[in-house]
Amino acid sequence: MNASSNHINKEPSLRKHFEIDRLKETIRPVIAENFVLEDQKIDTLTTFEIVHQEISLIRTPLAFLREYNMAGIEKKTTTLQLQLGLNWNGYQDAIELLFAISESFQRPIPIEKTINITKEYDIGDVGFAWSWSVQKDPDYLAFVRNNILVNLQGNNVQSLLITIAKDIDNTLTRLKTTDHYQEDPKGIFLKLKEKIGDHPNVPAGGTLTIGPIPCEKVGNRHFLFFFTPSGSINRDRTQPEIWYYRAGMEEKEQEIILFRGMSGILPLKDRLIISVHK
Amino acid sequence: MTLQLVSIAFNYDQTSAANSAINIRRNRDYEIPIPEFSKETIWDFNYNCAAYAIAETLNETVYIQVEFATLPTTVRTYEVKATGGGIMGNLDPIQIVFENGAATETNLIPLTHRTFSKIGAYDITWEWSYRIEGSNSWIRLQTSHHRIYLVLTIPPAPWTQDIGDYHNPWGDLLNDCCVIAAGSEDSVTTTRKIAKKVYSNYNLRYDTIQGRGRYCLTSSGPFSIDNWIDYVIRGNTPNNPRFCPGTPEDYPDKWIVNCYDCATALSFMAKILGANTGYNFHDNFGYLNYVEPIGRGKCNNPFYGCSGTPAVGPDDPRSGFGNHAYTKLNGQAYDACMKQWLSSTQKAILWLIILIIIIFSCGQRNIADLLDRVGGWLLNLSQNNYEEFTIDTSESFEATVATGTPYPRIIDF
Repeated sequence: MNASSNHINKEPSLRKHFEIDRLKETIRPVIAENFVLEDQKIDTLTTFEIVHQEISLIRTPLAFLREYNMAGIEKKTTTLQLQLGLNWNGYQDAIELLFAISESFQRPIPIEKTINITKEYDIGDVGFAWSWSVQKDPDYLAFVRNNILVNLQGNNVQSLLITIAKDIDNTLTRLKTTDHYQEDPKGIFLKLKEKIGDHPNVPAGGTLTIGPIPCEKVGNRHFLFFFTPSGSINRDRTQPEIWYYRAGMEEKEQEIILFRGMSGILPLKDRLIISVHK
Repeated sequence: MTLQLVSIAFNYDQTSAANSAINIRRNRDYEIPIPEFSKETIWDFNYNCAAYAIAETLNETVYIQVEFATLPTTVRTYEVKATGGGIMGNLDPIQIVFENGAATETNLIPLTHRTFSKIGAYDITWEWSYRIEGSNSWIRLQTSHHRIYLVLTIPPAPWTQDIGDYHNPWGDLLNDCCVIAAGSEDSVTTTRKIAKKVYSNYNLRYDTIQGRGRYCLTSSGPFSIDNWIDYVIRGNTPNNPRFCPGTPEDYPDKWIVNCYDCATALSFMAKILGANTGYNFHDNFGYLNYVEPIGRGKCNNPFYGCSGTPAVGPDDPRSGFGNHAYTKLNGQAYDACMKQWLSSTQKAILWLIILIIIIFSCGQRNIADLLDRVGGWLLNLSQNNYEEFTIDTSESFEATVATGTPYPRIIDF
């Protein structure tokens, strides 16, 4: 067996290699400004156009993952996938997500060829890159800056990945930061509270009309995610722009949390306490 | 007409799967109304639909709740019946009494003649008729159409029966899964059918560059079930992004998958039909024997990129699986991501064995597993057999890396 770039190694995992526990000891702020890719003037991305987007929620650790698929404007065979993950609870979660995503390949990660891009190129707070093949330029790159995960890969872009990553990191570094996120003071529930009080009552199994919830549609999904111990947030079948809460059967005080994004990766958080009763 | 059929509720008791339909919803955004049949949903089977669990309803009395209306000044007592009904059966005559001047009356009608035995999506029709008390002649009332899903048992987690929960089984998925596994009466057959469908019928191809999931965001999920339904099951995959653009392997990227995707999809699709399958992650899987990854041909070098060689000599240096994922049911392995590659000679020998078994058992032996073996399917296999068929440990460099064992992981959506 020769030392092919494909061989399965018996080396420690990426987590052990980069000492994830030590990385998590650092405390860093979270970005306080939204990062809207389309609004950023990132020089290395001007030759690309966005051809597809998706938005996903990861519940543990809590993160909003926006995937941009891009293709070269002139050279269509040059493609780039950029994933931006905003970790609501901060840097430690971003580190966890960085490794969770980067270890989710069936192909063995060539750990011996992994580059520490933070040390070598000053990209991110933590970051690495590798090439699946024998070539020097990486074709997978991921890093964390504050609470943002950035993940880059593509076709025929290997020679550009480091530069693109550097540009994105520079943009992220310029964003204002804060210690943690607050709820949206002009939240979607404000009008509802004015109308029906701060702690509305909803019968078990009953409904509470919320009304329209402004949010961006990304691909086939709304940038709208909710958390509630029971029940669900739903759309009215006959008036799809109207949303309502369906209570579960747990008769107690419950917290509905909504995250909704209008653009970019930073959502607004809204919260409503309701009492579910018989 | 003096009598009107106003509505029919199949899931009239959301706390019972024995006497009522189970709790389902349309998809992530939309619930299914109760009553399911009303003037708003007459022809919309996305909402005028219900699901029943075969095991829970066995030997139980199942009812539907039907609301009738009449004019206040007309006759107060009627008899109502319905013919047809398919698997729901015809409805025996029942008496409807509008008491104390009521304009509407709601009655529970038993499904006495139902035949709930096999998974399926059944479009049924009832011809309703009524007669006034004391009259011999039946008068046509209405025709009602409904879509009924039958599943083996209450779908296990992550699906739930909690009222109002978005994990209630989705009609958008039942619609297809009940058709794929139509006629199945047990979990093994159900899982087998779903696995074959995922592997063969959705235009999916294995990611030969990295083995990365497009629907499982990490090896532990979450699973993008909305995209799976839209892009894979319904075939609405976006033309962009592309996989290996400008090469002979050029293909829509959202039809590229890895084994996390296939194992999770198989598990979710089988579970919604009541087959309690589980996603299993197997680290340090190792080098492969000759297999056929989903959408690919003979291969023991799975990461050959956009233009490499998928099959090299049996013990040549090559790529292998750092890890793998597959589905388990009752301890047996089911792989919707790859098949075993068999030579013509191996197939001929297996056919011969099957022929001998058929002859000596006078055709009584169930040969489904044997037929799957001839096809190279990796279904309903013991762990030892599964590993023997897929993992190459013939040389020491191969054996030393195949050190992992599968363990179940809970995946959500």
